[in-house]
Amino acid sequence: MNMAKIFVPMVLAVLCSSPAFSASWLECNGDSGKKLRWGGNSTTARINTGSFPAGSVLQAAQRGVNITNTNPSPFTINHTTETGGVGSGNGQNEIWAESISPPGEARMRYHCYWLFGWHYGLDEVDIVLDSTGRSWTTSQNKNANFTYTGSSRPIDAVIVHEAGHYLGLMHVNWEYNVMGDSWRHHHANGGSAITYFGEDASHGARVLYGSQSSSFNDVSASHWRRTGASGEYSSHDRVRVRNSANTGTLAGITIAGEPGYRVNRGNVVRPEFTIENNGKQTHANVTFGIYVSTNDFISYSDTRIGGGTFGSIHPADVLTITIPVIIPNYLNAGQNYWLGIIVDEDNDINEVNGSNNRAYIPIRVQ
Amino acid sequence: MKLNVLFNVVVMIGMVAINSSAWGHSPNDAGEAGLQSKVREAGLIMYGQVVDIQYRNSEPTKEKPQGLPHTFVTYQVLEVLRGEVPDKKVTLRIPGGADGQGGVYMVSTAPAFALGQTDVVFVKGGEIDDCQLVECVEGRFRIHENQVLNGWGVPVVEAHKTLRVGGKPRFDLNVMDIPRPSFKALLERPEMKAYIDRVSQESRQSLKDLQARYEREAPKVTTVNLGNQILPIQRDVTDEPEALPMEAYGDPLTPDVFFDAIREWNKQVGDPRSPIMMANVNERFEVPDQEVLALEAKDDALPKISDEERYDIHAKEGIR
Repeated sequence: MNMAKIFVPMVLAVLCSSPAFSASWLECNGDSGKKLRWGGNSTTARINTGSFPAGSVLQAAQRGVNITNTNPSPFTINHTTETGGVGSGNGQNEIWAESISPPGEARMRYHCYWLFGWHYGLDEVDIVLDSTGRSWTTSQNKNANFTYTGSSRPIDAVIVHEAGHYLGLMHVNWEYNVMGDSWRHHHANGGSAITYFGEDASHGARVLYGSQSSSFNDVSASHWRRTGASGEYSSHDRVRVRNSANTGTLAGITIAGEPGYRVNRGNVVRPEFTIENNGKQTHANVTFGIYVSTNDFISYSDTRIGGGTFGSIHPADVLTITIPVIIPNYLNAGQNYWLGIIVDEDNDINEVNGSNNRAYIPIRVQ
Repeated sequence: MKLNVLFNVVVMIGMVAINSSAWGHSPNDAGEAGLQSKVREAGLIMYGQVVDIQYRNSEPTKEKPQGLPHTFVTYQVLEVLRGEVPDKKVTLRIPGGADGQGGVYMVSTAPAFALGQTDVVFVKGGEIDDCQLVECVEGRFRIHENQVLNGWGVPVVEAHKTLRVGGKPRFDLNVMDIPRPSFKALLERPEMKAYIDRVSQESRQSLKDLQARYEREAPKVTTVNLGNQILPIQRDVTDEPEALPMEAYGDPLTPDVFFDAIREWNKQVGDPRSPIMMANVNERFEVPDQEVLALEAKDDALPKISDEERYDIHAKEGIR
């Protein structure tokens, strides 16, 4: 009897069901059944127009809240505007800016006590952004974002992180996720880099609030990945292109201001991509295509050079994967290209957002 | 004139240096800065054990009519690694804590405490400001089972050349003790009083009886802890392997190694600029109302997009 035929599936079965971490939150009295969350499925945040005046600055803050709301739980942060003073303990959830050390912080009020039964939950959360010493941008353009070719920090990226706290989520350092390094947590294709809530935080939102009853499907691809941890925050960096044996990373080169890799025609290379299921249910047999493009916008009109299916993508396990692909011989030596992926290539999944299914890595063909 | 210019340049460089340091330890700004800046900023670095925790509200203000809860944490000093301590016990004021009426205020960048915890704390010198620790929660290191962990229980794996903090967090160490509010204090809150009155009617127990029951049955201390789902979650199934980890983390440092690193940096950065101030739990304190400031941001022009991007209808699925 071939023991490998028994042993390998057993190992795979164990690996597939091994304990995994997910998002984190606060609990009352050491009881996982008493998670600190809002009592209902919506609250209202008041965005102070003294800090976020009408126009693009206010829109950026609102966009951050809306991005947070694009998750598969039923919880929604409604937003309105206010003027005047702000403070913690006034019964209002507020978003404003003042001079603080970190770029942003959440100030939470909650309760956890016994009074003829346990009482626990969130009462008020304020989000504060630093108004001094930072270069902020309202833009979603790569050429404004300091993690691409710009020099500023996107307002919406910090709002999404702090709004994760607003829901009751805490920092996470063991997954690629927005409750870690939210500056490097984007969907980018073409000229835009869009911050997003992501799989791990979406899973956390579902743990706290359950799944919304309406259909919510969203798979996505990103060219960012977890590299490790910086204390309680996951640290992120751009995905790489590995050699065919996956034993080393190809030589790097800067292409259009972004990290790229030198590849040889006819060689098998392994680009990495981060694949997420931001929804509430597992998707089986998710199709994907690998494309090569002459620019940083990956589309179906680019040249398809590979593809396949992912067996199943669960909504609680962020996946950064390497995919083997042959660099075509007909590409021009010395020219820059962009190696891209499109997930749900056959458009089988009815998604809330199909614009986040693509990601790219710049390459220089040798 | 030239001296003024030189002075301005020095001040600007100093501000940039300080600011860079703050960025390195900011929420969602996962940079890695060394221990050096933390040591330099500290007026006192000590190893101690939490022997007392009290919560007090700041003085009421227009925007904070109940004041802002703060923690007064007292350490028994076990060892001084930098600076001098005025006493064998040191009390520090940290933003966040219980409000005495069942509520808790928490800042995402501030630590919480429980009795008996042992820490190395980097205390800022000079006047007490919003948080007495250098970079607040980032200025606290937990010493537990001969291991060094950061303020959230994440292992500290390197401290000499660079401060490297990563690996599996100890969730069990993230515990905050909340003392039982007095029955009288609960009755001061209208919604609590209404609830207690309802319980009184339904159970036909007097307020006095309910108070006795409360003091008998309510835990004297409750805890709030960091929770995390550790369940067998199904993994994604793919033909190709998951990408290899880019960084691995060794074992946490032992306290001896960490203390040596602090002492080494202490020698290099020179004496503290100013001694620490001891917080006094019996003194009233004020936290001024926040000054709402305008967030100045660049409003960058839209990028030029190609026709390919503009007319790609497949990329617009479901956008709402």
